[in-house]
Amino acid sequence: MAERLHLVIAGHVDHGKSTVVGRLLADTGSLPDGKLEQVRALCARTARPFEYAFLLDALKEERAQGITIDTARVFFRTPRRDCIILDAPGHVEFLKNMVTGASRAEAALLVIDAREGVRENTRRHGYLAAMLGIRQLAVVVNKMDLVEWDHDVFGRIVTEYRAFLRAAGVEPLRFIPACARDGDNLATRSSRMPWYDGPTVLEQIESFEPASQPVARPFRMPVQDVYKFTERGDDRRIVAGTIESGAVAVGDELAFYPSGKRAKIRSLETFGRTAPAGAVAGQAIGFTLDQQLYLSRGELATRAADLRPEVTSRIRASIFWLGHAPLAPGKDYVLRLGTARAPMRVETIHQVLDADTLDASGVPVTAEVVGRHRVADVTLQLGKAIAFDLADDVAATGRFVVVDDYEIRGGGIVRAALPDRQAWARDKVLLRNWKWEPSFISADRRAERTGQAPLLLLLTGPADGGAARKQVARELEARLFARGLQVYFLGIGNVLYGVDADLARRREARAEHMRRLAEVAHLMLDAGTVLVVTAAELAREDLDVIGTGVAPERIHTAWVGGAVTTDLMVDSHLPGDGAVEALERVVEERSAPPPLRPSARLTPCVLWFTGLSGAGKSTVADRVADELRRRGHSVERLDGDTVRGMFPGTGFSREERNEHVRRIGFLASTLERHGVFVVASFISPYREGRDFVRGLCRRFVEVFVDTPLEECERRDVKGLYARARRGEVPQFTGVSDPYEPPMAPELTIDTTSLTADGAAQQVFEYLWRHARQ
Amino acid sequence: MDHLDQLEARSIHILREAYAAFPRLCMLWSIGKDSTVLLALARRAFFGHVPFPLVHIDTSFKIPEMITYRDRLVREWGLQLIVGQNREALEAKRTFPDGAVDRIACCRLLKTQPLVQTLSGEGERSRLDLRTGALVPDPDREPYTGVIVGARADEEGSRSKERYFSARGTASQWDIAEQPPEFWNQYKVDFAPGTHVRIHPLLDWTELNIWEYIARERIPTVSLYYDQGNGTRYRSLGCGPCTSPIASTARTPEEIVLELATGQLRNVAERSGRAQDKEDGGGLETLRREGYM
Repeated sequence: MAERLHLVIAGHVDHGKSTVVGRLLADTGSLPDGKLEQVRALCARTARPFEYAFLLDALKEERAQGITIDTARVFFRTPRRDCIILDAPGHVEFLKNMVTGASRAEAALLVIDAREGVRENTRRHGYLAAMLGIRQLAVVVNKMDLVEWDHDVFGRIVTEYRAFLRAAGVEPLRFIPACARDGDNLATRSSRMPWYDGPTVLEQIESFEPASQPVARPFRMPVQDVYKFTERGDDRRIVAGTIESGAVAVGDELAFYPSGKRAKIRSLETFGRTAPAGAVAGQAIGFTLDQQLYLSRGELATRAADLRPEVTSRIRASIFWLGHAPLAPGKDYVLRLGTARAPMRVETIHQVLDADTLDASGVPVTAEVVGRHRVADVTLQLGKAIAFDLADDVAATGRFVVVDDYEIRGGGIVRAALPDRQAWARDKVLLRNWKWEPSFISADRRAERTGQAPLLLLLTGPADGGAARKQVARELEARLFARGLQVYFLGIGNVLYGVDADLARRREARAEHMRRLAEVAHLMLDAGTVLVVTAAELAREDLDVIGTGVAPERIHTAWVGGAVTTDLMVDSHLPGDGAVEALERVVEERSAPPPLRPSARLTPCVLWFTGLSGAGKSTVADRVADELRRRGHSVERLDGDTVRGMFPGTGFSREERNEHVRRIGFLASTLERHGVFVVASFISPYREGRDFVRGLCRRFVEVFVDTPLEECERRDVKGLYARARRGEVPQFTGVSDPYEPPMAPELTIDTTSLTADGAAQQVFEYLWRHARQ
Repeated sequence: MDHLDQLEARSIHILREAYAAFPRLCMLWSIGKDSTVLLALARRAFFGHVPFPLVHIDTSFKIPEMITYRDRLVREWGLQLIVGQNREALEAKRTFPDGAVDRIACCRLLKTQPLVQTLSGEGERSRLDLRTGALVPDPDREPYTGVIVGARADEEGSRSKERYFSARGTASQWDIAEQPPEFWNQYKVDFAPGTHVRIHPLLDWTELNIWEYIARERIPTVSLYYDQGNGTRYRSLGCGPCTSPIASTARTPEEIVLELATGQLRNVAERSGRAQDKEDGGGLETLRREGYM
């Protein structure tokens, strides 16, 4: 099999790129038979002279406009190479397509019109190719026929453009004089330029080297995701990503940044193949670790033995801007590097380079903003620290894009890592995370039990608002607690006089106070808690320090009270009434496990609906069972009438009723063990009966259908209440026999305010939180 | 790493990026060779699991073997299948086989329209009940915001202009001239409300690569792709009335690889058996701009 090469073709508009490609396709026999004739015929019909460029213009619209719109991929074969030509456009409006093409290319062919010479886009494309990391670059000086095959014209272009490319940081491999229209020096040697004895364009393409993966460099793998697919008993927790550089093997100690957490690789995971012992750059892999680390997308996996990546929130970079709106200081952007993502602002624009005039004598200019298609040297400030490398050390983890308004608007490479103000605290956190002994209970299992993700709620506000703030915090704590959340209120005073007792209460010590607060919060979040902290007048700098010790995505800030008096960018501003409710919603949203994917599966359990006769147990249970079946689960629906039909002798005394429930409980627990969802609806009036069943089952979800007696009696679907009142039905629950409501049901449903669908929905919400696989 | 390993690695990377970026993710499965390779790649990317539903648009005119094969694979691999269909048009017999409309209009009615509506949730979705094998209504009507598609750049003209991650507007339309750049491994994963992103992990694969991979990985494919003894086989699968087989005696993936590698089909376009392409002048452009795969 021939090696595959990605090649980008660029150059100024009308200099003949598409003709070069079209001609190469035709001359190497890479076109399907008849295609050439078809395009010739089309040209004849539309009364236009035939051009090889038309072969590429696959879309109607393009032919109309006469320019190539997008990075078309052209598959083309030489005896030695499988080529994908990424045909980049020459029109200035479409530069982003050139970037797309060049980003994937291993080599570039730049086309210059011999008569027009080096033009604006010739320079710009050359500069971009260099910046995007293309090291193999050849130049085709086309349309030599128009300059009478003049060696001197060719020589002048070579001198001028070689100097420009050198300034941009790339040494061109070759300049080839050609006439693409006639095929001179394309696939066959031209007899019209005897002074040239170098390779043809085709020979040059064949001599480009397909990129080799940087296997011998430091190991780098941006974490794409951590997978836990528990379907069919799969309990692996797999860290997944693509190796950008270096190599790794089972047993290697990894260090993840920016967190600094460490663990060894236990296994490399695959599907349908034998698990390998090692992997190298270019491979998309997955591995398990010997320790349960809490890791998320955006961490950079490195080998502890390799070069340590940079971790900071300030970088110096070269950036290329494509947005219509200029890149400007003071505006909020998002930076994406590897799989990390951080809010970004421009701190300083050091200089803007105009790619048009960048040559040996080019003088860079300073500017307030970076305009479209400009290259600039900038310092960027990130909303949180990320891990990366300098582009010169590890290319793949030293480049980034900038997103504005949902679109990628620019790209850049990292020139330097700059210190930020949290560096002192970060060093401590990196060490803490390295030495951290994880709990034997994983964060997943904790979240499974509590149905919540840990969250730090920072309530701040004006200096004189302390009492109101604490009132909100207390009320919030009480409400969340009542809803079953694991929540804790921590006043800053508790830290000041305890953990911070050795610190003087001076301004200089403020940062250290914040660092210690963060450490306390980190402990409590590690235990799975929703932590509510109050502190007066928190500023941006305070949050930056806290964000170093606690993952920023786990923090929510709220300003309780009037106008914000510090430079803090708060997540919510709560000036008046309704603060508690608003915060309750925040917690509901942010501490909830991620939203259910359409494919998420649930762990089978026993759903036990209890309540009075006529409460609505069966109606809700039926809907739940139907929906579970629709999701592909095995479901067994058990109800009182059916089971009593099988055991007609069972009476209604306390003893007989409990026996009835025990029988069902045994059956339900057996079914559950075999992976069946059991949806049971029984009056089951006595606590001891229900608790007995709870003891038998692995996962028992007691759903109390709490419909008041009066309402059940009003509904009286089967006419039983009327008969019971007349004394015709002895030992009737609620009338002549007690109903003992559950002390701590997993779920209580109020059917007076909910429809059956609403009630079923509530059950599913519970299952999504607690029984998601 | 050989060339198939490289293609595989990039596709897996793209699939994982899509899974991380789009909580409402699905994959279009036409039951053809390309989207089935995509399905096999997903199982590799997610270690034996396919953590999103597969969406199939059933025109009701698919060759019967395709549906049998579809349901068998879904049950064997424990997949989640969502089926969309334009029942209204079928009941009103507004189709090409019924003689009511031309081929392009039929594609629009039976494929593009139900596809767009199934993705947005406006149209009815059915789900294959893994227990009974029957199609039941799917209660989930939320729109899918990420849609994985098995389009390849070498297939026909308009597909060579695609990005790995390609934005579609609120009405699923494709604005070819205004596509954002893709720098290195960074794709368009941020999207405005009401829009969705199509993801093309197979963009760099050729028809030959697909068959090499099917042969290497022993991926089950529909028997229609192979000569069953009468000297013909399907090269591209679609609706019965608009798809015709080509002359070929290849009986296995290996024989197809040989057939393609030795250039025996060089002069025949891959979709030459697909009648609707010919009616759409410049390839599938018109249909694809409106949301066709």
